Amino acid sequence: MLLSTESLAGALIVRVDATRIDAASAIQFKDAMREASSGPETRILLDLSRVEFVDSSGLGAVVAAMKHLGPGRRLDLVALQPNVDKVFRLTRMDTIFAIHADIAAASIAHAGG
Amino acid sequence: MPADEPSSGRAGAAVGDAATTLHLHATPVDIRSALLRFEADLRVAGLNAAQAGLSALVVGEALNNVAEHALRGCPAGRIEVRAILEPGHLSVLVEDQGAPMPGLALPRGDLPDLSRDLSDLPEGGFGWHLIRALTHSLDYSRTHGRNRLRMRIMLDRLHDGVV
Repeated sequence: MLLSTESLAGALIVRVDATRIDAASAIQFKDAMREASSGPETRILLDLSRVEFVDSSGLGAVVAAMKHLGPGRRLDLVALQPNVDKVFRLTRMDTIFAIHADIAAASIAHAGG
Repeated sequence: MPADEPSSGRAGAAVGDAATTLHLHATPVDIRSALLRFEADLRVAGLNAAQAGLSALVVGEALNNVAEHALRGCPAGRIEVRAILEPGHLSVLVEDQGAPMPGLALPRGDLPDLSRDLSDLPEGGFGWHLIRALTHSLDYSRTHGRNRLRMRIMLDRLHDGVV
């Protein structure tokens, strides 16, 4: 699973450079997220703009990545495609994760509190 | 392990036609290939992106369940998927010769408790909830050593851009 990272105003942006987080790639995603988030940043923005498909295994992997961050660090989700957004809403995960339309919206949300 | 591509039937455009038929092995990689084909066939049959993508999600959850439970440890096990377009829904039949569903009943698909501490959040248990949330009806039967899961996936409420 290819992830690319970029720092922005103290936050770490992690972009998923794959179209699917599914049962075939969930473990690789978890491992790659663990490595990508090993730095000191307390806020991580997971850019899902390229991801077209997330199944329950992929959802579980995103939850695992959030839990791995531990207390005091947070994982926000950015730029969900409609079908991916639906998966997070149907499973009420939108009550657990902050979901932003894009990186700019995520930055404003942070600046605002 | 056989490496043949999941096969597909011809796509039909009219209600009542077979939208697609797939034969695959119970492996995550085969399931991924099959779902890509499934979604593409549904688009050819006239479904919109939301309908085709979320139908593939439902079928994927069912296939993952077969691979992880009914055919656990049997990657050469075969699964057959047949989908027929009907008014308002997509009727999908998933068949395998794996172990029966425990108690011969489908899981209820209750959502895990999300009110607990974040560190205790479950990382699984969402699959049947997704299946039930996106289907009008589910019917499971076991005959002659075969599991048959029939799902009526709601299409009428799945529109592009509506979430």
